[in-house]
This record gives sequence, structure tokens and C-alpha cells, in this order.
Amino acid sequence: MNWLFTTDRPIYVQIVELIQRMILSGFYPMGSSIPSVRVLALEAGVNPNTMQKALAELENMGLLHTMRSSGRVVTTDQWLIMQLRDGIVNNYVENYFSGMLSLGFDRNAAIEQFWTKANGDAVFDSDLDATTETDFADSDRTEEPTEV
Amino acid sequence: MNQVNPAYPLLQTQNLTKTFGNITALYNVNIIVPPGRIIGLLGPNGSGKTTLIKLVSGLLTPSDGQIWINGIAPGPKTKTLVSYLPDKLYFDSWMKVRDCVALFADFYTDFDRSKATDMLTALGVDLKQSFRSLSKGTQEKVQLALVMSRQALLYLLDEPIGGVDPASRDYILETIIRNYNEQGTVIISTHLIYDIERVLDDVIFLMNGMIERVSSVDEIRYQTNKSVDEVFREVFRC
Amino acid sequence: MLKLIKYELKATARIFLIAYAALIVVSIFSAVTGASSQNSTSGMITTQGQVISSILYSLASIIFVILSMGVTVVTMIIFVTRFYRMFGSEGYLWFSLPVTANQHLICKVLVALFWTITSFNVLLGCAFMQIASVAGIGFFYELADLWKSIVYQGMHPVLWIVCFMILSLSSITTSIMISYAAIAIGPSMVKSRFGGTMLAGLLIVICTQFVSRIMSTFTSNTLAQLMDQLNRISSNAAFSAALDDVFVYTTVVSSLMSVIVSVALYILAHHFMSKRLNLA
Repeated sequence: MNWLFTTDRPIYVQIVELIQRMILSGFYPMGSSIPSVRVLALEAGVNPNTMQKALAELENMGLLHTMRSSGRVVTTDQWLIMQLRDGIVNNYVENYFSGMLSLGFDRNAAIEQFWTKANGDAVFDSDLDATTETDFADSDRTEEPTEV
Repeated sequence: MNQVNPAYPLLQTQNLTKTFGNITALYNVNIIVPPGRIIGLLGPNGSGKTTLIKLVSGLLTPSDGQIWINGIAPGPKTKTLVSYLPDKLYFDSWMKVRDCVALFADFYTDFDRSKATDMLTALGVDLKQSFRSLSKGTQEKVQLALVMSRQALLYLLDEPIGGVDPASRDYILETIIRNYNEQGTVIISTHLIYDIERVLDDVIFLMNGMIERVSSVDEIRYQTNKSVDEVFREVFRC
Repeated sequence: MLKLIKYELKATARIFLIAYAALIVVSIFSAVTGASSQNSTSGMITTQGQVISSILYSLASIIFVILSMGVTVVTMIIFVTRFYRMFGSEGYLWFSLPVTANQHLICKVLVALFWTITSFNVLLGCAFMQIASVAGIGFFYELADLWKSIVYQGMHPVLWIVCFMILSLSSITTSIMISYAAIAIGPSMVKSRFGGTMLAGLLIVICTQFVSRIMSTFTSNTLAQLMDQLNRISSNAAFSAALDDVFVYTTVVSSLMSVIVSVALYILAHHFMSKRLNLA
């Protein structure tokens, strides 16, 4: 896992987000135990206190539980995980809309753009092979909400 | 092993001042340091970082003010609690690496000999080599390995990453994180903040011998949305 | 503190053992060539082999003398430099150890004394070896006779030797303490550590000279009296007693002074090492 941090926000906040990704992507599956604070801190190249803070935060959120014998364990609460995923997806969507808004597209126009691009029907690429799909289309497909 | 006496802060200075003739290296420094932290002592060259560290290690005596390490003034007793890494090379020319290890083992009861030898082997250092025959970078790492193999309450590292290539810097930071006694505190003095920021809990800014600010790294980032490195550059802009 | 001594000895042993080895080798060489260059009966050089031997012998003797001087000088230099370096970069190691200033000082003084005494013994041994082989055993018989006759006359050469040893020891100790005190005070005096040390050394020497002048005014009378006594005596028994008095008195006064000065300097050095340490 690539622990890349930006410098403008507290590190522990960024770690929280990164670990959330790891949980959602199945890198740390539900119910599995995660490495100790020390090991994680070393891997991430951060202060163990910082890592501890992040893990405590994740515990507060209910995503991690401390088991007396096996350290910290990812929650098995599916609903919670879905909530988490949903929250992040919402963020992506809102980001999309605000980005498009700054380009002059209102919400509906933004949705239209989205469908067009996502289905590979690029306005200028009608002469090209059907196999040329943009990366953009791929990454969005998995998280595609059903927008009405 | 050494235990922190909870009745006293790990390190406290009160009105600490040090003058060398006409020059005031430190003036009125008041700090309280708790255990369990990694703290950066940051400031430009000549701001008094090394002076402060040497005072705490007992290599300098204060011109004014007091120092207490877990309630005790600097002396032989505190030297068992403090592990100091200067930015100088300090081993005698006759010493082989294993002599250096033996010296530490002889005088420091909290020294973990096997940990030290493991680290040295990992560095590719032959214990039978003479210290002087190693490259400068390796010598510095050997000193670091010895210092970090102690279960001290207070680690004072003076410019451990200065003048070192980036890969070595990572190695050094990793060594620090991996080996320090979590009951204790590490104080790292440096003027290279960018590399070290992610490892620090708190920072002390030292300017012209006086404390400019004391803050946690998170606080600085929250309040300014900038890295400590950037804030430092602003504060210390010539 | 024992550990400190161990390390100190380890650090210095190398140089000394090499020096001693060199000295001994040259002595052996000189002894052998000396012996072989002599004709046992007439003491005259006759054969060609003896000529060569005698040349080699002269060479060896010269080298021996030079080496001996070298060893004495080196002995002193080593202690001073080691102590001086302890206040430089190496100090970061030594002064970080959980060891009191007293332990550091005592260790350094003891080791210095140890090597000084050992060096002296080695020199003496080598000299004897050479004399024995060149002059033959007969020389020692003559020496023993001389000794007996001295004793027979009622004098006490043992006493003189003891006095001499005490005197040398105390003066060596004082010189060591003067250098150590100067080194300990040096860094706190002037910006340049070297300059400060020299300055401190100068001041200390001036002070000790001053003190000894004062002391001599007190003691000169008594000494003069004793010397006077010596001149006026005729009988052997009384003469030797008077001579002993002179020796003893001088020794006691000198060494007492040395001891007092050394102790004062020790306290000074200790103060600067514990309360006024300023490692560059």
C-alpha cells in the first residue's frame, strides 16, 4: 500500500481516509485483524502516536474494534461499511457536480455529459473503434449510482 | 529498567539561559516535555538547538535557570536516563566497532546489546573493523544504532539527518521510530523539516536562542492548512 | 570506575607496549654487542669481530639513550593529550557516561602514575641489563661492596632512596595535576580552548612558584641550620644522622607542598569538570 500524504492536512486524518479505502477495497476484509500500531506506523513512515490517533478515530467510527487478544479487527457490520462506501461515493458525486458547475454545466447538463461519456459515445470519436474507451469510463462504472 | 516518575514531567526547563562571553546562545527557555512523544526542535543554524540539547545532556552548565529530567538535575543519574546523539563523531581512533558496543554495554544498564549488533549487521558493518575505517555516513549510523539501542527515557538527537542522502534519511527515521522506548520521548533537532514532519508529534521553534512557539504538528496543519515546513519558512524568513 | 580504568589502560597500552618493546630490543642488542666487544681479561679491543661489535655497541647505546628520552617525553605527552582530547570531540562520549567527574579524574591520574612508574622501571631494568652484560657480574659485586661500606659508616642509603622516590613521585603528581587543572579550566577562560589552556597553565605555574617561594622563606632557616650542622660535624655517626636529617627534612617539606598543591589543583579541576563544564 502506498502511503502518500499531503502536507496541508493533519496526517492522522489522511491515514483515516486511507485505511477506510483499504477496508472498502477488501484489502482489509471484514472481520480480519489489522497489523499493530507499530507495524503500521513503520510501514507508513509516521509517528506511532499519529497512527494511534488515526486508529482510535476509526474505532470511534465503529470501523475497527479492539479485541483483547488479537489486536484490532475490522468490523463485520455490513451496514456500516455500506454507509461508509455510500458516503464516499456521495463525495465523489458532489465533487463531480461542483467541478462541472465551475465549467458552466448545471446539474442536468452534467448528468447528460456523464451518460454520454460513460457509454463511450464521445462526440468526436464516432469514427474510431468501439474498443477505445476512456479510462474515465472504466473507473466510474464500478461506482455508478442509479441517478434518476 | 527505567520508569518515568509520574510526579514530574519528563523534561522541564525554567528560565534556562546560556551565555558564552558576550554571546547569548539561549535566553529564558521554559519548556515542559511529557513522555511518549516525538518532538522536533526546529530552528535555523545558530538558534541554540545544540546548546539546549547539550545543557540537557549535562555537557554544558547553565548560566542561569534550571533543568530537571524527571525531577533530577543533570548529573550522572540523569545520564542513565538520557541517550544523546551529538552531531559529531566521538569514538577514539583505537576502537573497533565491537569495542564501541562493549563500551556502551559496560556503562549503560539499559543498553540492548543484541539489538545493537543486529542493527550493525544489517548495516553491513563488520564488528572487527576499526571505527575510523568506516565511511562517514556509516559512522553516523553506527552511533545512531548504539544510541537507539538504549531503553532511555529521553533521546536527544542533534541533527541526525543533516548532510545525509535521502535514502539514509529514511533509514534513520525508520530506525528512530522502530527502536525508541515508547515510555520516553525523542527530541530531534534539525533544520530539515520536510523529511521529518510526518514523524513528529510536536514542534518547538527556536529563534535566536528563544522559544518562538510550541505546538503540535496537527494544530499547525489544521490552523494554517500548510505544512510545518512551510510555516517554518515563513516564520524564519530572513 | 574500574571500567573506566580498563578503557583508559586499553587505550594507552598499545603505545607503551610498543615503546617498551623497542626499548627492550635495543637494550638486548646493546647488551649483546657490548659484551662481545670486550676482551674478558684485558678489556682491550683486539679482534676484528670485536671492533665491529664495539661500533654496533656505540650505536646501540646512542639509540638507547635517544629512545629513553623519547619514552619519557612521550609518556608525558600522552597523558596531557589524552586529557586534552577528553574536552574535545571525545568528551561527547565520556561526559555522557553516567560517571562522576571524580571518577574521571581519579582514573586519569592513576593511569598516568601507573605508566610513569612502569616506564621508569622498564628504563631502569634495561639500563641494568646493559650494565650487567658489559661490565660483567663483577660490577654488581663492587656495587654491593660500596653499599656495605656506606652502611658500615653509619649512613642509611635505603632512606635516601626512599626519599628520592617520594620526591619524584610527588613532583610528577604535581606536574600531572598542573596540566590537568589547566586543561579543565581552559575552555572556560578564553574563546579558544587551546589558548585558554595555555593561559590557565601559565597562571597555575606562576601561582605554584609563588607559593613555593613563600614556603622556602619559612623553611630556609631550618635548612640552613641543618646544613650548617653537617659542616661542623666530625664523627661519622653524627654526620650520617645529620645527613639523614637534611634528606628527610627536604623530602617532607617538598612532598608536603606538592601534596597540598596537587590536592588544591585536583579540587580546582573537579570543580570545573562538574560545575563549570563547557564542552565545545
